[in-house]
Amino acid sequence: MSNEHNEILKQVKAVISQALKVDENKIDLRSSLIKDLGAESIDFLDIVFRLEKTFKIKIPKGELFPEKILTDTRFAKEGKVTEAGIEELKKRIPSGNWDAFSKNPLVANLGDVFTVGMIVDYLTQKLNITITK
Amino acid sequence: MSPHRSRLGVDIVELKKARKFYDRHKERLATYFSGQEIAYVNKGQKKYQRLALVMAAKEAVFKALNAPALTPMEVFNNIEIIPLKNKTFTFRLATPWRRIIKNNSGVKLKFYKKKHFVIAICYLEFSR
Repeated sequence: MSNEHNEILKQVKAVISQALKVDENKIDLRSSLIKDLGAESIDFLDIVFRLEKTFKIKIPKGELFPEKILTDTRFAKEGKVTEAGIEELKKRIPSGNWDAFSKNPLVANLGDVFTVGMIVDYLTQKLNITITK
Repeated sequence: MSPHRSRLGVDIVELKKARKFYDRHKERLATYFSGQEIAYVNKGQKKYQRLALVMAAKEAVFKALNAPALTPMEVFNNIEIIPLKNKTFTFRLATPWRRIIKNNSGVKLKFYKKKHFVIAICYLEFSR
């Protein structure tokens, strides 16, 4: 991981720790906001606004947390995400663990996809940081 | 004849959290709340309590609708809580959620304010 990427992760962990009142040591890239860290609706908004302040950026609606996917019947039907839906989600959230999700693609399980790593990847792209591995 | 259904949605918001959120982000509310909602929030003395109420109401309506939302942001974007006279409330849905219910023939939004939290209960009667 590059220094810049590490720095983003450090700041994201600080933001999430403050927003969710969780020990930073319990947060890593794979931590799910809802399942592991207990984020509620108000916390999602809080995190977005805090990220904007911390990184001095604007996060337009639907950019960090995708919208208008489940209302499209090509992508979700009867409580399940379709193959086309999974492909669309892969484009919008490349860092998601889609192999695991594909085995049981219930809409109810989508909350697990929103991880700290997803936020770090988004910010890395947004800030045009090149990751040297 | 369209099937007639009723549904219930409940949500709870902690006031301590709402207060901190309001104090920290009150300038940004317009991103996810309508002008009418913000006017309602800012009218009272305990603005954070009204904000908690609006947030809980949106979630309660969402649960009653069993609507498709990937994240809470879609819930905040697609449901507008509308205060009416006599301290009653209703809601308005953004497209494409409007197709979820053709006619919300009966909407009851009730709130319970306690010392540490607010609870919103949405009872919905609708036909598809």
